Parts: sequence; C-alpha cells; structure tokens
Amino acid sequence: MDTLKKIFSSVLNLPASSVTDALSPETAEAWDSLNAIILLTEIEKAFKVKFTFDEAMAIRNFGEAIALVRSKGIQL
Amino acid sequence: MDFLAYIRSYAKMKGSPAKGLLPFSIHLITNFTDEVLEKVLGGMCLSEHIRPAITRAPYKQYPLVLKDTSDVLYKSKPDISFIFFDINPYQHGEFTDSSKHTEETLSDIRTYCEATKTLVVVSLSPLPYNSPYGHFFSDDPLFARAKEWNDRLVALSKEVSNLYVFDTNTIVYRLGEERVRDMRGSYAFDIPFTNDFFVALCHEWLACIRAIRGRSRKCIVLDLDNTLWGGVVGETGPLGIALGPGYPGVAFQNFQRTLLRLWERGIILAIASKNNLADVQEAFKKNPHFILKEEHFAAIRANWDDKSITIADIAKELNIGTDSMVFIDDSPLERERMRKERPEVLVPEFGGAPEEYVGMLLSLKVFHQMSLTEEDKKKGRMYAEERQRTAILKNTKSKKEYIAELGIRIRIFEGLSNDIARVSQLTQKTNQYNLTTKRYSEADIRSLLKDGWHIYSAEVADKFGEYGIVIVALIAPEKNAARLDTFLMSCRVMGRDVEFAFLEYIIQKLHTAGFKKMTASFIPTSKNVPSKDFLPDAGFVERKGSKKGVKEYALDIPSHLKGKAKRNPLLTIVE
Repeated sequence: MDTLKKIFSSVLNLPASSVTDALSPETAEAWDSLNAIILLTEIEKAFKVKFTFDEAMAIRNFGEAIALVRSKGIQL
Repeated sequence: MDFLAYIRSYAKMKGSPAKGLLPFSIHLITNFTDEVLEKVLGGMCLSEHIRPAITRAPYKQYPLVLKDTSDVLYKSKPDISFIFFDINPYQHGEFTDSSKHTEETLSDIRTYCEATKTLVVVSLSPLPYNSPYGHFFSDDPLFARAKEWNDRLVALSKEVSNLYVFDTNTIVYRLGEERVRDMRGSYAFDIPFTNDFFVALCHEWLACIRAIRGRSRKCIVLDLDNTLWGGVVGETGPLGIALGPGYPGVAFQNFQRTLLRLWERGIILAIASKNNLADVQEAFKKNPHFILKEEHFAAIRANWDDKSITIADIAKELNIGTDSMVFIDDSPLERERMRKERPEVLVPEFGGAPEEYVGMLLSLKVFHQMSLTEEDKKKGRMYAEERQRTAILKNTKSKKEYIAELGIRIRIFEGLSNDIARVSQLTQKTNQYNLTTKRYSEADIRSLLKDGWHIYSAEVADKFGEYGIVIVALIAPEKNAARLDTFLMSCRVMGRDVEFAFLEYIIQKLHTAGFKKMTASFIPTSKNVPSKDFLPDAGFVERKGSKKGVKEYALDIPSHLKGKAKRNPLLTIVE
C-alpha cells in the first residue's frame, strides 16, 4: 500500500496523508490526463503488472486503483 | 533519485524561490507528447542545483515553428536546445513516407542552429528491432529511411559547428527495446517511450549541461586495496595482490585500463590510500601487471590520515577545487565519511564485484567535454609530470643540481621560423614574467618582422615532458643599440634558468650581427614582480635618468662576452 500511495503522492505532488480512497481527478487539481498516464505506467512498473487500456481508463479514484491492482493478484 | 522523485521535485519548483540555483534555459523540440520528458529533465536539473526554464515547441508544430524565425524559439536564445524526433519503426509516418520531410527537417535544423548560435543537441531515433524483412534490414524501406535520417543528422553535425549528436540507440543497447519503447503509449497518447527511457535520456543530456557549465569533474581520487587491485597489499605483499591474468585480477586490470583512457583524454588521477607508502611503491615497482604506473598519478598519498583531509591536501597541491573531484573507494565507511565531510566531492556507490567497476565509473557521466583541445588531452600528463619534478626538487640539495637533474633542452626559433600565433598569444597573456607587458597581435608581430626586428622564441622540454613555446624576446634594431622591447616567459618554466640561457644565446647572435650595445627597460605592473631582477641578474647596468618607476638598463656586449659564463652549461640549446 505504501508503494501505491507513494506513486500517487509523488505524481500528484501531495502529502501521503491526503492520498485516501476518495482521491480523484475532481479533488486533486494535479490529476490531469497526463498525470493519469504517469500514474498508470508507474503502477504497472512498480507491481510488474499490465492493465488493458480500458481497465486503466476506468479508474475514477484511488480506491478503484487499489481494487484494480488487487484484481491482478497483488497483495496490498 | 528515481523517476518519481524527479517529477515531484519539478512539480514543487513552480512558485518556489530560485535561491542558490543556477538559472538555465532549455528549448525542447520533439515530435511526440513531451510533457513527461520535460518533467524528468526539469527534475534532474534541480537535483544538480540548476533551475531550468524549459520552453517546448507546441505539440506536432515543429515543422512550423522551426521555419518561423519570429517564433519564440528563435527570439529567445536558450543555454541549450534538445531536438529529438522519433521514428516509429513499425508504421509509416512523416519521416518514412518520402524523403521530402527528412530533407525539409534537416534544412530547418540547420537554419535554427545558424540563427540561434546556441548549443543544439539532436538525438538520433532508436532503430527497429523487428522487421517484416527479417533481420537483414537493408531491404526494409522503413528501416532504411530511419537509418538514413540518423546518418544525415550525423553528417549535418559535422557541417554545423554548434550541432551535437546523441545516439539514443546506446540506451537501447543497455536497456533493450522492450524497456525503451511503449507501444500502447505510442498509439494511445503519442508517448512512444517508457519512463525508464526518459530518465536514461535525460542522464545523457545532463552530461552536456554539466560540460558547458564547467561542472564536469577533472580529477579521480582512488583508493588502492580492493579498488585498484584485489586484496590488501600490506598483508599479501606486492605480488600477492589480485592483478593480472585470470579472474579477478583481469577485472582490476581492465578497470585500470579504463582509468588510463580517461587519463589520456585529460582526467587527472590521484591516490588516497590507507597504507604504508613503501608498500605501495614496492607494489608499483615489483608487480609487472600494472596498467597504471606511478607516473600516471598527479599525487600519491599513502598514509593513515583521514581521507577527507588527504583529498583537500591533494586539491591544494594540484590547485583545483575539491568540487571537481570524484572519490572512488570500495569501503562504505570511507565513502560515508567523505560525503559527510566534503559534500562537494562526488562519492559514487562503489565496490562489490570488480567486473562491475568499469560500468560503475563510466555510468557517472561526469567527465564529458563538448570538445577537446590538444592542450586538454595533455592535462593528465602535465599534472603527473609536475609531481615527478617536485619529487626531484625535494631530493636535491641545490637549484643547480635540480636543473641538471631535469635535463632541460631549449630549442630556439628566430625570425620567420617563429610560430607567430603563439608568440602573439604569449604577449597577450603573460603577466608575471614580463619586463614591459606590451601586447601584440599576430598582425603586429608580422609587421615588426617586416621592419627588421629580431624576434626570438623558444620551446622548452625536460626529461619528463614538453612545455611547448614558453619564452619570447622582441628586439628593435636602433642606431647605436639593440633595444630589448619585450622579454617574457611563461610561469610554467620559472626557476629553471631558461631565461638566462635564452638571453645569452641572443646576445651572441646580436654580437655576430655587429651590435655593441643592448638597451632594455623594466616597466613595473601589479603582477610582474617575479621578473624585476632579471636584467641586473643577467648583467645589465641600470642607467641614470629612469623615470616614473620605469627602470632603464644597458649592456655592453663585447665586455659582457669577455666576462663570465656565456651560457648556463647545465642547459642544452638545440640549434
């Protein structure tokens, strides 16, 4: 979980404490389309997983990102 | 630092004060979505205390902005410009449809380089790994076009002096295409590369920035045991260390070979080792497997002092800053201590398997220079030669002995045989050993020759190496005397009596030419104190009527030649 939080807090330039399940493009100003791509590629790299394009584009908040990583058999 | 740290630090930069950071402006011109690249480049600059101002060409508009000389890319001259056009290896695009786009873009790059006069680094496109034509790529038109683009860029860089080429394929060789190309990114977002690739690319680009800002390192300070050789020489003796054929000795040898290649292009080498000096010297003398010899090192310190003190001592002796040094030591304790005491010294992680040493050293990318003059290449050698001279000075009792030991040779040039450019350069930059500090251009020197002046210069060498042309005399023929208008010598050869031998040679020549008298003056400046006693020491007599601090001297040639030694017998004059 720390790894995933670190990715979000680094890319979105937020303190780790504000990375909660509800964190979304609506609540985080820096979560734009470009940073969404960086989030995707960094998560895939960190957990050595690959998402389909549709899976990745469906993520709407941090909670859904956790669920997607878990769905690839990764323990968080 | 890693990718995440770079992009975060760049995000934090906006709105933060620029205190203590070097401002640096960059143009970034690519043919893909390059915001991620900008973030990595920006973050990496910040990690080296550089505050970047990056201007990107708008997405896909490079063909327009490169043609528009009123565009901001033309109007603002950046400190450096990075151009990188990627060619997708698996589908036709603008660069592979026809050669028209290639020709046009090459011409645009040329115009941009010539107009901005800034340093432009163009990166070659990674070439494809796979092809429908199999691995014999020459038949694949797509591959051929991509290769042609790269070849043409290299050719262009040979014609345009401010254009440099970086081959991104070197990154592909290291990481592999799979870790470099991101096909999903390419098709979905027009980001054709992985984040790892951007980091590797920016590492290369940063090496250019360091080089043009004088931040490349000049000197490598090395530990010995388990760094330059395997084992501990104090325990195993000079022949017991691991160095030479077979593993791991051959790996240490190869590390030495790489250091030697750096030395050959001008990097200074020094040793800071906790050892008995006698053991170290014995190892260098008795073990036949050394690639590096004692003579390659500008300083050898084997003692039990704290290395942070030793390194400062070496820096002082070589007259370089500790911030231009790299410290290589396999001991984590020594590295940690150095980082704490001398944070300006670059202390990379080092050690473990010796076969990795070469890679660890070269991956630092801190020794780059954009161009190398012949003088630069000699630097490592000149510093090492100086150490040997100093060693003689310590061991000899008198100056006479020292000079004799050096085996100095002087080769004198007269009239048209002079290197006019060098003579002029010396009049323009010599301040300390210079009697009159008169500056002459190359054209001036030529017209003096035409006016019948006697012009002498000399090249000096000793048994350790060559100094080049370091001493000049310009003599104006006047009615009753030869006037010594200019007499100067580079401080590199001060204290070796070269000036006296050179002058005696000239006096002899003037005598043959029929001159009976020589006049000279000393014009004091804030810097030329070292040469103030030269004329009286050489036998000149001060004349009455010297004014405004300028001292006038004269020398009677016939009586001078009858008198004391004509030449310093310890110096050899090569005619």
